Amino acid sequence: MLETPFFFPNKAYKLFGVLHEPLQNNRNFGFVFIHPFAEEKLWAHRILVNFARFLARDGFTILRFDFMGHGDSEGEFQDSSVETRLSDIEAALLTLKTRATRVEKYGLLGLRFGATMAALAADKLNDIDTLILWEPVIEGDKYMQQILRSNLATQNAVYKEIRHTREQLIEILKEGKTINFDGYQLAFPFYKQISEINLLSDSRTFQGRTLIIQIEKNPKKPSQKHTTLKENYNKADQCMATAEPFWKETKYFCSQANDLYNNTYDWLLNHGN
Amino acid sequence: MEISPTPVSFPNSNGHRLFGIFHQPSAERFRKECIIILSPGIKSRVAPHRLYVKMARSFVDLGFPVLRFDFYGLGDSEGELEEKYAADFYGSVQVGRYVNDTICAMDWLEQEHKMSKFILSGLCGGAITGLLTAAQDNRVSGLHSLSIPVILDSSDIIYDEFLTPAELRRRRSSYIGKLLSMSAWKSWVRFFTFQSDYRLIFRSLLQSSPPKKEKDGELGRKMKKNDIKNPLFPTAFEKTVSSGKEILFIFAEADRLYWQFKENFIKKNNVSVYNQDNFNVYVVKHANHIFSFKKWNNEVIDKSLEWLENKY
Repeated sequence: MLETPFFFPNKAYKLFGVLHEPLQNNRNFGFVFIHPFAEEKLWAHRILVNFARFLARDGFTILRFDFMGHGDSEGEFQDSSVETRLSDIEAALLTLKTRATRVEKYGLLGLRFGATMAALAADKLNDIDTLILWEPVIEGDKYMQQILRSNLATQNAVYKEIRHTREQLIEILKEGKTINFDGYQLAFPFYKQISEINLLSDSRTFQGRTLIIQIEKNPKKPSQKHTTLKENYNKADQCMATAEPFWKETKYFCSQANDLYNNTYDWLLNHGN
Repeated sequence: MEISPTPVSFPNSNGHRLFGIFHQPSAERFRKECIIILSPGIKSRVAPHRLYVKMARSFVDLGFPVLRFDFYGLGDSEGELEEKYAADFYGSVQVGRYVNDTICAMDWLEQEHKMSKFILSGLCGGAITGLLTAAQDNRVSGLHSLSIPVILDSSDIIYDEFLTPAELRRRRSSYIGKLLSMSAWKSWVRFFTFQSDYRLIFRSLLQSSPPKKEKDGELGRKMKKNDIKNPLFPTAFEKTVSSGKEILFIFAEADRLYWQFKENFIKKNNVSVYNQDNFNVYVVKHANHIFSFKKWNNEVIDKSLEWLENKY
């Protein structure tokens, strides 16, 4: 397996990426991995790195990259939006095509809000064959409410009181200022864009094969939302994987998610890849 | 002005390839000391809310070359870690797990970029790794430490035993808030299904306010009894200070690690260390462990730049 870190351009800025290439048994199948939002990206980083290595050892080609304003890429988080993310995914896919010339089929694999962005990108891009959604953020408004809660929790911890309620935080955003969550500055346009995302509201136009994985510590039964999302696709499968919520702080050191890896890998093999 | 950052890799002493980003200033501003920003732990060379990216951009603007890299088993670097619990991983960092990786980074910079003087910078796990390395490697001329831990983490430790009086007060406010709020029904469900930490709830509710002085002493005794202080810290600190290396410790006022530094190290050892010419401590008011608010991380960077300008 060969790993190459590099910067690649998208418009006026550069994005950081790592290309994982097989040394033998090349399956001619390439994936772009799409990371989660803000601090979730950092917690989950090693899980994505190890799955990229696992797949590359088995003949897949993987490009991992950082969105503008995230990780080692250029730009500021507060300038990023749904559009910049879609544009970054497109640039990453183009880079994968340019650098890995033996690859003939392309897929997107996303985690959490990265899965949401992968779903939106797959609806727009013509040359995606396979879409894998790991615990997608299905309803953006609920996700943004969690982000606001995180701000309230920090206020409470620091000032021992809530100085700005949830409603006041939204007003601050509407005034054109930013609010802080876990150290990131969120502006209103992005807040509004994410709040308006609901993967269940429309039929997805992506026509390739889709796998939706619900990740839980003790999975019992498929959630209704995941099932409805599956039904919104033409050719989708749904399964559950046992794993800690590795995209946030847990008491465990999470660097592998074997059940998640195996479910994904088995599904890929069962679909002739 | 910064030349575009470059992805780099170099081997550690076990042959694992370590990945990093090397930032270089333009030739006319190039200073001779290189700043190495050491990974805090799980959040790798980027650090919480990209703090290391912001720091690197500021340092390079001042003319310092900067290397940020991932220790083995973390970020994009090779190697795997075996720990089941995060606390055990942090504990292993606090006793020097990554000192050799740091020395390998300096060796690589010396061989490939002809650099021979280094300032080791880092948050939390990166800070303690910097101190332990500085104490044994003469190429290190300065130490820039954010939220340095003086204690040892372990999954065997019951952390609630070591809550500070202020943390107990905060817990109490939170419990009282939940007691009076119907919207906190999930907490009630946890309480009645035996999922709550009853010991902690009663400890925090029974604590008088304002806290009595002896509570602090009691806390100190408990810590001593359980011996979670890092035995390597005092020696490494003494060695580094007495060697004349420049040191800046930046703490967050609301961080338990600041309280532990004062209570378990400064008070119990030698308060006069604050008066050393080469040792400076700066505290960011109200800040949390990772300096998450924008004004806090700006203050950290401003203070760091001021220190670098004065000392180098």
